[in-house]
Parts: sequence; C-alpha cells; structure tokens
Amino acid sequence: MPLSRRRLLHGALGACGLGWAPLSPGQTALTDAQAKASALFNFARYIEWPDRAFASTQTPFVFCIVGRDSLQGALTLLDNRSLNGRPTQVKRVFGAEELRGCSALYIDEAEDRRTQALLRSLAGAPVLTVGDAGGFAEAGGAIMLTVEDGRVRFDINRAALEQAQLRASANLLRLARNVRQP
Amino acid sequence: MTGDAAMFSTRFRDLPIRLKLLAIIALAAALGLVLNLALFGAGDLRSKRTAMQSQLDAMARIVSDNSVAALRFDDAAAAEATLAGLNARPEIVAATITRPDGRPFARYPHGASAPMAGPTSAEPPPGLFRLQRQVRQDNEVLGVLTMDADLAGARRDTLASLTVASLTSLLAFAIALLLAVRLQRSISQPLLDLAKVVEAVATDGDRGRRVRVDQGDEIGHLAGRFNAMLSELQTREAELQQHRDRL
Repeated sequence: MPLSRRRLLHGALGACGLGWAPLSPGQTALTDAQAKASALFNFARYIEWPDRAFASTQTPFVFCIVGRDSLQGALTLLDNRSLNGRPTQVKRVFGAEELRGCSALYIDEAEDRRTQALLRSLAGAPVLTVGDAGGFAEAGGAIMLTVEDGRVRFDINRAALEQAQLRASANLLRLARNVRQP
Repeated sequence: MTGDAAMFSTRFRDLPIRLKLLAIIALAAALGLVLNLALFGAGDLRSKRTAMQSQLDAMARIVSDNSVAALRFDDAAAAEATLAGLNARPEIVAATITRPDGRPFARYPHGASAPMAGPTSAEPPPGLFRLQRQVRQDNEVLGVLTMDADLAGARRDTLASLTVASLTSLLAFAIALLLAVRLQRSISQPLLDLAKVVEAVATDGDRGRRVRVDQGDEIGHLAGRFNAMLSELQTREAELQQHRDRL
C-alpha cells in the first residue's frame, strides 16, 4: 500500500507539529492544516450522504485531497478513523479523472486553479466539496472554510449541497457564518 | 427534668377524669397529626426533589446533545447560545461546558467571566445541587457540562403545601377535641352520677337511694354492685330492726 509509508511520515510530521506548536493557555495547539482537516472530518459527521453514494455499509469513506502538499501534516486526522460506522481513507488526487470513489473532496487555495474543472466533473455526484479559496462557495463549492486565529469559520452553499444530494444537519447550518440559500 | 415529670404526673393524677380523658385524646390526636405532617412533608420534599432532578437531567441531556457540534467546531458563541436556553428554568443558576482537559469552553449566564464564578470550582456553592454530564459523540468525550441548580424552589413549594396541610390538621384537631368533649361524657358522667349517690348516702344515710344503671361496662357493673350493696344493707338493717322490735 503506497499510502502507509506516507501515513507514517505524516504521522511523524503531525506529532512534531504538535510538539513545536507554542502551547499558550486557552489556545488550541493546532496548526491551520490540522484545524482544517479536523473541520473537514466534522463536516462529514454532520452531513448525510444518500444511500447510493456507497456500495455497502462497509464501503470506506474516502477523503480526496487535491494536490501534493494540501493539509500537509494533518492527514492522520482523516485517515483510518471511523465515520458513522465506516472506515475512512485518504486519497491524494490531481485531476478530474481520479475522483471515482471520493466521498468528500478538499481543494486547497493553492490548487484553486483546478476548482472549476473538478466541480464541473462532479456535477450531481454525491461528493462533499470543501475548499478554502476566497470565492469557493460562489464558484459552486459546498463549504468554504477559513481559519481565523486557529479557529475554523465556514460558509455553506446549500444549492451545491442539494445538487450533490447531501443533507446538512441543522446543527451544522447553525454554526455556519453564512448560509447561501438555494 | 425528672422532677418536672414527677410534678406533671402528680398533677395529672389529681386532674378530674373529664380533663384526663380530654388530655389523653388531645395528646393522641396531636401526635398522630404531627407525625402525619412530618411524614407528608418529608415525602413531598423528596418527590419534588426527584422530579426536579429528573427535569434537570433531561435539560442537561438536551443541552449536551446540542453542544456537540459547537464543541466539534470550537464555536464557543454557539455553545453559549445553547446554554442561554437554560433561562427557561430559573432554578438553574449557573452552567459551564469545559473541555475534557478542564479548559473552560462556554458558560451560563453569558459573560460570567470570573474564573471562580459558577461551576468551575470543584465543589458546588452551599445550598446548590450540582449535575454533571459528559458531552459525547460516538463514544468520544468532547466536554463536560456542569449545571448548578437552586432547589430552594422545591423547598418553598413543600413549605407552602405543608402550611396548607397544617391548617387542615388544626381543623381536624379542633373537630377531634369537640368530639372528645361530647364522647368523654359517656365515661365521666356515670362516674359523676355514682359519686353523687355515694356522697348523698354518706351524708344522710338513706340506703333507699339507687344509682341509675344504663350501661354494661365496668362503670355500669360497679354501679350495679353498689346498688346491690345498698339493698343488702337495707335488708340487713330491716332484719336488725325486726329483731330489735321483737326484743
């Protein structure tokens, strides 16, 4: 498995990152990447996928991360965990042709140039799209997130969620900074 | 104390039967009523407390379920908005949500900023009832909800119903005393009648007197025996008189 070595590496990096981060009282010792990764996982907790999105109840939930460097050092927060009874996996993707099997897609600001093509190729597929580029929600992404002072803020584009047949729980909508109604 | 008791018992011994009966009945009735009141009060307080605690428990469950997402997304403002719903229950004076490592996350009432104000201290303030509940999701503990409630409301309710119960008890006691005044006559009146006849016989020596007997209890029996004694005395005296006349 090509991922396992990388997972180990990221685990080590993550641990180092935690060790280096200044621990001021009341401040979470999370890097921005870790904050984003954990938010990504939490979004998935509060969103309901249609049954057809998974072949069986044991089908893993796959977080697809666009680009080589996105969420560097934070992938352990997404990989090999349990999400609503499913095991989770992380897959790095580089183009629209690799999106098969993705349940969620994270597009980092640095990869924003690919956004249009990726979103277009997903059209209607039950995939949660999350990005941190400024105009991500306007461009048709489902959740746009930003990190301010180590805390995650996010906007939800309900039209995009509906198009992907995803249902966000009221708890998630309540926490959103902005909800774009369809 | 024993002196007092002795004095009381001699004084009680000297009381007329009428008053003794009244005192005994009053004491028994009062004891029963007071005991009843105490048991009722204790039971009422306990059931009110239990009811209040189960309401608090339900409240805590709702609040902690609704705080999960806020904890997940580190959104203290959202958690405080959830906690603000606690003002529907005025007995809840303070509440906090802390992280599993003890860091405060959200508190109620909003802006109670002093670190020792509210349930951040280990012990609840005196007189308050503390309820703690883990905020969890998928077997993961995300935080701890602590609520301090003032159960004085339960005490006040119990006090109010106790007052009502005391008034009805007082009424019951008055009725019992009234009944006692009338019923004690069935014991004391025949005794007084008997005593009057004895007194009269002792004064004028007229053995022709009789006590009226219309009851079958010990007093009736006593009166009957007294009448029989009088008749016997009468016959003896008559016989004696006959002897004396013959002589």
